[in-house]
Amino acid sequence: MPIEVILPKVDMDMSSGTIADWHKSEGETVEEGEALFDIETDKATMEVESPGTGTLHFVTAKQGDEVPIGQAVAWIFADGEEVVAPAGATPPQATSAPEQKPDEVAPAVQTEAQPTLTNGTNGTRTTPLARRVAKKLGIDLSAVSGSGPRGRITRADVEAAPKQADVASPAAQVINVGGKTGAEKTAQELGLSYSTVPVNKMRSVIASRLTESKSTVPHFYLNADVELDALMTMRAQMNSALEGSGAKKISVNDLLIKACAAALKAVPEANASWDGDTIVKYDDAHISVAVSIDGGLVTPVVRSAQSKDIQTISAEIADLAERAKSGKLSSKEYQGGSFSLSNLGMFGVKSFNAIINPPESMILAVGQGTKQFVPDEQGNPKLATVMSVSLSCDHRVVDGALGAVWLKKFKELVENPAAMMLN
Amino acid sequence: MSSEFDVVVIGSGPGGYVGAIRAAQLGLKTAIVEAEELGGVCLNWGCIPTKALLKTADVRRTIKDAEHFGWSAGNAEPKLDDIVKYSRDVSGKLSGGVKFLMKKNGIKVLKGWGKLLGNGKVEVSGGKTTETVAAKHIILATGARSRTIPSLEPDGKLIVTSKEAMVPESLPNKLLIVGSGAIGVEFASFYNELGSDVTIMELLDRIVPTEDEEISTAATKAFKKQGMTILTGTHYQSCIKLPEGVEVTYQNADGTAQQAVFDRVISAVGIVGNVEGIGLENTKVEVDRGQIKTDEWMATAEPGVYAIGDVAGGPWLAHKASHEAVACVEKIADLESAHPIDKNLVPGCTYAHPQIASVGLTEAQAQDAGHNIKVGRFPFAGNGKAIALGEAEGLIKLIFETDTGAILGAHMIGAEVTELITAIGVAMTLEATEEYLMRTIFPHPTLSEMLHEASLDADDRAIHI
Repeated sequence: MPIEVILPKVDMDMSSGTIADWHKSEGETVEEGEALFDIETDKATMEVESPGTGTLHFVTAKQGDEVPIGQAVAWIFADGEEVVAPAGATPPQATSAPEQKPDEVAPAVQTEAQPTLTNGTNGTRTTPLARRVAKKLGIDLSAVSGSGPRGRITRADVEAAPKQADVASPAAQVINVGGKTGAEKTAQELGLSYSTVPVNKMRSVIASRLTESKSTVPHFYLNADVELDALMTMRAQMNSALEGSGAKKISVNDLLIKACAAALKAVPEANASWDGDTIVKYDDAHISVAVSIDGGLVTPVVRSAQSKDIQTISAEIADLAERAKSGKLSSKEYQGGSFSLSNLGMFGVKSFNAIINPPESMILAVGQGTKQFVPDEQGNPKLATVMSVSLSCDHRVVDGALGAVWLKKFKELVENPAAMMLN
Repeated sequence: MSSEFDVVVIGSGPGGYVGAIRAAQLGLKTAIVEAEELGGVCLNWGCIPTKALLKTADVRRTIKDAEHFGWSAGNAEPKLDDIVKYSRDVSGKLSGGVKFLMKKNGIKVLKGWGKLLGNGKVEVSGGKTTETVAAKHIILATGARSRTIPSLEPDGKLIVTSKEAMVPESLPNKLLIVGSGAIGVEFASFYNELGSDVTIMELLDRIVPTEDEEISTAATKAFKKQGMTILTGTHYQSCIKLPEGVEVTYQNADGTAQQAVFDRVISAVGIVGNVEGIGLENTKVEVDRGQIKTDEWMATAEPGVYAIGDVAGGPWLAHKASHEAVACVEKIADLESAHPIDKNLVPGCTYAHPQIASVGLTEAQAQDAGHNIKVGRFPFAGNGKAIALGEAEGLIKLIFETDTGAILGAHMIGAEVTELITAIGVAMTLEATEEYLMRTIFPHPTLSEMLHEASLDADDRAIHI
């Protein structure tokens, strides 16, 4: 019997997925566990591993096809197995894209594609007894794999759950984000008017990632004021040169991305991640840019920004932000940053401290540029546009002096922006 | 002549023929080997013909109780030959049905005795010709037969096993049944209703000893009320055949030796797997105390050879055999949904009068396993439908785990409990908790309402008691 390759459910609430790319083609040999194809949901792209070893045949869904969950997209035939068309080996009918629900948003972190149904929070996939036992044992059902029909979680699955954690399955790596705080109970007791909103996937990812960061990463903060006038002048010159070309205008943020990348290039020791017994030093500056989206945020990455020209950066971040907002980023596009930039200036925030986005070691929090009188070289008041920035550093990788060197370099580049244009 | 099959099943009982059909459904080229009638013991010499016999006993009971329901029906006299014929006709009809199912599913029926030759070969002999067939997978479904003990060697006339007991030529006046499992008490009910003076002899301290203790007590009470003699804790020792019958020597519960004469003895002391003469010596298949050792997928120690049903061990029940066969075949076909059976979820049914049914753990087993339990009970006397049917004797007993609400076991005695048990089987398979039984809307008036009441009673919430 050939092994059926089905379109797996890789995210809650998804009913179909699009084949983003095939890593293997008809007639190619595949090994169990090898990357077979990429599935693109309306939020992310994930790799699907081969469920068996053999030869790939009857690939019924091609790149770009939208396929319902559970439908066979190909078959794997074992060595020597007669290759005959299995039932269902005809191309599927493409379906129209389902309407995106507001709570279906991109998780800002990697989620491992699993070809089994593990939807533990959906009541229909957990037996009543399993729910009761999970509650009693304090086990998070979303971390439990179901062994029953259609992935239903049974009592035995719940009782085996701690063992799953031992083998560090991706699903079991759930950070404790803190349980009940008693907020609702207090509100009830005091007769306060309130409503409750269920925590969706993105919210729980944000909660666990940032709880992990703030409680395990030793943060310290460095503050500085940066004058923006030279940068604003250069930006105005650039945009007037671009006028009429149809190209997008360069924003201050685009230039700050470039400045961060250039500063990282100049201070490469700061472009690194803590990894337990080693420190990972990146050769390029991959700048994660926090983008607020409906219901949360994502951090798409401008890759190797130090060697990209400003127009490329500008176009890339515009594209990434737009796709982030419509939930069309692939996981590779929001993973693997080496530094984060978070700008709340547009909201009138003067300054703030940000939480590091692990495994990165630094995040720069940028406030609004405001006009201020500052002393010039002669001590006379000079009107300048001043922006407050705060650099959060992971002390395991970046010591105070190193963070300060980086911040000094950043300030120099912003205040003398021509230098950052040199690759 | 030689043929190659994907699957060859040896034995066509409820394990073998169900496995063959499932294999054929999955597109495997399948053959089934049977030396006797299709359907095995279950259809021909077990479950089905005994249910037909017990139905005839029910007819007698209805006529006898006619006055209770406002009818004057006179006396009913059994026509033993016709009763036996009815039972045989039912078996014949169902065996013919299995033949049809084999044909419908394209399963090759090989008449004869199947024997493993090793290396995936099966010899089929005793039919018109002897042939050898090859198979990628061989499923042993040879079943079991009545166990015999040397001091009670059946002769087919005075001392019989279940097979002869279901085709009697005459009714015994004084009948001894040694063994009080399901088979023993079913024959006790049949012969008692037909007018024999029935004695049940059991070595253990209670009849139907695998059931919950409360059920054994209720059964003892009911059987005694019907006029049977129940000897528990009694050790059968020996017998001598006399012209007027069989003189049996046994040791009472208090240790004193006793003798009594019976004109027939049914040996119902258990069953033993059919492991002989099927060529196991040509394979690595391991046998332990008369049963073939398998893993959870019914695979034996010999690659490509599987064993399911009675020959692979207890509980010796047709439905367990069928499910093992399906699990085995689906695993062979590498079906993703294949799952081994959970023996704790195999229900047991006894069709005596009153009927007995159970699934899961008894109260004592649940306690021994360390569960905190709560027990809900409901008597038939509190159920409207039972009273209308004239069946006000019986008990439903449900055992729940206190802290999780898990249904650990269900034990029932009374009219139609063999049908009622399925509801609890479904609930246990779906892992329902007690509150889901409480929430279920049971129709009125039905016997099944007692399941609801018994679950409510576990929390002291029963309505009609």
